[in-house]
Amino acid sequence: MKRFLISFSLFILLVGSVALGLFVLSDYVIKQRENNLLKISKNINKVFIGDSNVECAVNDSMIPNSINIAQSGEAYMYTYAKIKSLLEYNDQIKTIYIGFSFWDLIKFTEKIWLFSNEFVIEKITLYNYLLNYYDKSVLIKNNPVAYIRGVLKSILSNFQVFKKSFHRDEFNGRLINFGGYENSGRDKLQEDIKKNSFKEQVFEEGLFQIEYLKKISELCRQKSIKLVLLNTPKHIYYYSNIPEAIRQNWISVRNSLSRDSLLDLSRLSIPDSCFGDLTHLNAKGAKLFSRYLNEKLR
Amino acid sequence: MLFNSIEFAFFLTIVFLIYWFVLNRNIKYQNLFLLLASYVFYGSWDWRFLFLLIMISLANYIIGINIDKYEVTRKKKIWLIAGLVINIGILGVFKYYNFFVDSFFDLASLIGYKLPKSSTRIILPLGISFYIFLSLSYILDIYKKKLAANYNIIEVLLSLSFFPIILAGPIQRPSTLLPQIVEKREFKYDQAADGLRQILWGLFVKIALADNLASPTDDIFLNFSHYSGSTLLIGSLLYTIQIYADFSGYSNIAIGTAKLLGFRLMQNFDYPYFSRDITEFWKKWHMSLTSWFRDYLFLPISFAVSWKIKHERVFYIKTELFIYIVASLITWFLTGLWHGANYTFIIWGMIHGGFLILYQWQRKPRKKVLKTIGINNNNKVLVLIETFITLAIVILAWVFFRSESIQKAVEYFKGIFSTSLFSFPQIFPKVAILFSMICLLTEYVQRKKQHALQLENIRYRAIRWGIYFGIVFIILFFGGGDQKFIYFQF
Repeated sequence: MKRFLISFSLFILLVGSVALGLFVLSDYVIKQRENNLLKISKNINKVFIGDSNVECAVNDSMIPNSINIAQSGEAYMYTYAKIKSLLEYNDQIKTIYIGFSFWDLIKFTEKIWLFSNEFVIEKITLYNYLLNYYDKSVLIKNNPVAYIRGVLKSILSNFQVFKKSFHRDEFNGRLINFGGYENSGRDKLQEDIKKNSFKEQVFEEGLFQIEYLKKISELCRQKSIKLVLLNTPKHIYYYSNIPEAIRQNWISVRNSLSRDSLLDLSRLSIPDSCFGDLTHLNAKGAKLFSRYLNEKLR
Repeated sequence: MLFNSIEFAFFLTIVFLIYWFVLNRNIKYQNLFLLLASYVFYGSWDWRFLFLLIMISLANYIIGINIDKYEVTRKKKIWLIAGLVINIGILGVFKYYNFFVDSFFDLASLIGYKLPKSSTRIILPLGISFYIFLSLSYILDIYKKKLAANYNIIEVLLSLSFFPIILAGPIQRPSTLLPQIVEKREFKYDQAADGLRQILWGLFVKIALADNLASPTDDIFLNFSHYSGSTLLIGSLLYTIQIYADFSGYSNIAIGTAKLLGFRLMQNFDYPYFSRDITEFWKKWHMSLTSWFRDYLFLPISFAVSWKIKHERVFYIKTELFIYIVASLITWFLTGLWHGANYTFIIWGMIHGGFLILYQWQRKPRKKVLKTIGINNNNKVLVLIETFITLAIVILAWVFFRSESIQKAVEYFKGIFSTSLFSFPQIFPKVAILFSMICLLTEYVQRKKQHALQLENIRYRAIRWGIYFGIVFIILFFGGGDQKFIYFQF
């Protein structure tokens, strides 16, 4: 028995030490390349960031001097970390358009995007090196197992990003692993209308989401960057069915960020054929919307 | 608490340490502790169904004693029938209620009656098919006097709810598990170390292989109408590997866990995809279920039918083959149904049953043909061709198993055998395919061993540990997402 326990403990210890060593190394190497990884073209002064709504709606190739780095299921904690690191290396950025949709601010979304296994693992794999101690402690307190799994996965991801950082020119101006315009290819509008699942959600404020959104606002103010809260187009059926409590919460958060501008295009008239589902535009919709946005931002 | 979760790693560590360090002097306390641990494990999924498990185990404990107690055959039989009705009744209600009610309403609407659909849906308790089968074999073995009823309630309950096997097998019958529970268990270094290796291999095939294959396979089967024939063919191949990796991975973890606690469970897989014919495949795939059906259904039906037939031929078919056909069709119909309340599973079972009958029928003519053309039965090319044909049958049958409905399975086949079969596949998960190759190759090399990580032929410890390290890091770095085990749904 003693022999078994010693051998097993030794094995675990060795695995742990090697994993820790690799983690420290991967974290170190990726930080060494941050300058190269996060630097964007000098002529880009508009950044679109947020969740899948922005990711699918804004085709940045149609909006001059802009970059879309939104990613599906992105909680404001990661958006904050991304903006902070981006601003450090790119002083040409003048305006940040951040996704600001109704359900971004509720507990239901927060629980999934910030604390569910799937999202913690996925996002920590990509962004652990960007987070500060407070961000990490929030995650560790709420889902330590998923955080550890994400950290383990980040080792390989960091090395891959490190390798890719030597070939930045192959990424057409995109930031590696930072998201970007995506045609989701969804075709579920009618299915979603039938399901009508949004009504079933119980309303509660997403405190961390709101806290980090305010941090983003504060950060932009400090750096003299214009922050625009962008509510992308929603299907009319969806818009008219948003529960009042969620709508009021959205208004109240918006009012607390009165220094920042609001670009509420959620009621923009867009045909059904442009929606992939109730809240996401398809490629055709993105083209239409991006053209409109480009005109509006001129 | 999934076997592939950190929670289970903690749970098992605590159970292991208390079991061997604190309670190692007293078998009664060890058994009681294992029973409680099993209930904690099962209750962690859904505590409401824990009561169902306890009630079923208690009922079978009482029935077992009563079957054993009476000498008179009639009374024994009454208790047995009561046991069968209770067990099969519970399984029927929980597993097949929704299916039969839906089928009834569909049938009614087909003949013109529009009935209001029932809104009552019954949730399937996890592992019910497995622990009901354990219970059935317990009372049937007592009835057949293969096993004496055990009057120690803790030992019986433990044999019917032992946590490594409770959710998805192996269906280790109480006749082989109970003697191990009763006997004092000694800690053996070799057995425990082998258990750990088997767990490691199970985790590798589950996390690195099955979980990585889950996403592309789900995508292909869910959106099959958007994909080319070659992609659909790849999808069926990927599912073939996924279901094997998923279930054999689970079985390896279960067997390894039991080894850590001093138990020996039966092997559940014996590298089935290297089988030369369909009979061999079923001797190597989900062995605990196949042998269960063989012993409690196929053989009793065969004997019962053979007693009734006095002629040499029935419907121009030799009696021997006729009995085999009848017993096979019933057994494979029920094997399919056991897997799930859906027609797709029944079709899957009947495909295998059909090919088994076909194999049985062609055995003698085949021998003659081979003799006539002068080909040895062990000819390598012949073995290779037959293995390939067997694998093709298995793969195509999996399409029914995986599809949501028969109609979708048929459409999937239409998609495969279209002109786009010869185009380049739209989905080709390189990493998962690479791991599949590593896994299948390792298993082929190690096919004479109980599991792929029995590496005692490698003399140097450093090399063995290097291999274990490599596997651990593959799991950590390349493991797929949180996927439940496929067989949990059965």
